Amino acid sequence: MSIIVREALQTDCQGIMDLIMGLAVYEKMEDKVKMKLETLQEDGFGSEKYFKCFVADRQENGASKLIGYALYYYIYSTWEGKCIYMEDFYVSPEYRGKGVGSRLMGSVCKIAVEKKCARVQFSVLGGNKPSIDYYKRRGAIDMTEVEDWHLFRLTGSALEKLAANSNTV
Amino acid sequence: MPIVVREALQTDCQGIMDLIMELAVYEKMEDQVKMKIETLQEDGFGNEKYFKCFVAERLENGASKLIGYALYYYIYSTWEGKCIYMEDFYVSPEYRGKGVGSRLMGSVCKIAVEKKCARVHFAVLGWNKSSIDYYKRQGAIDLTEVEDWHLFRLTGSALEKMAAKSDTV
Repeated sequence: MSIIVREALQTDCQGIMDLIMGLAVYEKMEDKVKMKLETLQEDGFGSEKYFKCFVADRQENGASKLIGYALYYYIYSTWEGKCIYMEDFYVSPEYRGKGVGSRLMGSVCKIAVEKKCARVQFSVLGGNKPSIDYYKRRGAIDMTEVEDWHLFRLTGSALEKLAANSNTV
Repeated sequence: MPIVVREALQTDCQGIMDLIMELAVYEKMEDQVKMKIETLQEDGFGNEKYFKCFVAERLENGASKLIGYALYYYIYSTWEGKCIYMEDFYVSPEYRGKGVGSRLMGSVCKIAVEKKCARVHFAVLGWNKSSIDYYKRQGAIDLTEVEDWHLFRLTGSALEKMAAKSDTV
């Protein structure tokens, strides 16, 4: 059994969908997953690409199964320029402790360094102590704890109401 | 004295740089601003565009001055698809209370609705009560407060160290 870490292909989307659900269950938010396979395929591999992804592919006896992924995209800091945001990072529980996570996250960080991105950012639930410890051991800074940054969201009717404000003179 | 809200042009970059610095001073983080005008011009208006921006322009007696801006880019949620992240949103103090902020933020939200983006996200400092109140009045949700999301960052030597882990077998 070998585990390969490589860039995702369009044919990986079903495997990535399964892992997206695995991560959402882990975060106790599986009811929030509205993503569909066709959307993921189009948005990741269509004419406009909204994300990139590394996958961990377990290969044994000619069979292949995705057991981890790190999905990311470019963001922009008006203070430091191009950065990367790691939207999802997950290794299936039975494959942890083998360094797969470090290879996945390391691949994203390598892209950041190659593309001269000052930062890799990501979000973690405050109650997720094992993940927080994992990230802090690797030198990541909790910007919410240290600088008191809060993440805000506009969605649904509040988003539509503000959109209607754009035409006032 | 009319105030026009419009999409930014490359020639607006000096005005946007001045506002970026004003916002950083307001957030008490001006020493963190490393951005240079040539970088902003290239990254916003070059071959690869990393952000888009609306500006508020004050016109009087043939003279023009930028007095507010909202800078944003597309991000991706594996649960809901394409979203927008509003990186910076700022109106110079002497022009507040005239609805300029609503028109800027409304313009970003209108793009989100037109492009079928489920969410507009942004970050606010926890001590910035006046901004937090403003956003909450518009129906924005503090996800750090409500769901305990923490923003993490890898940078500098910690980022480089992780990048070096990508090639392990």
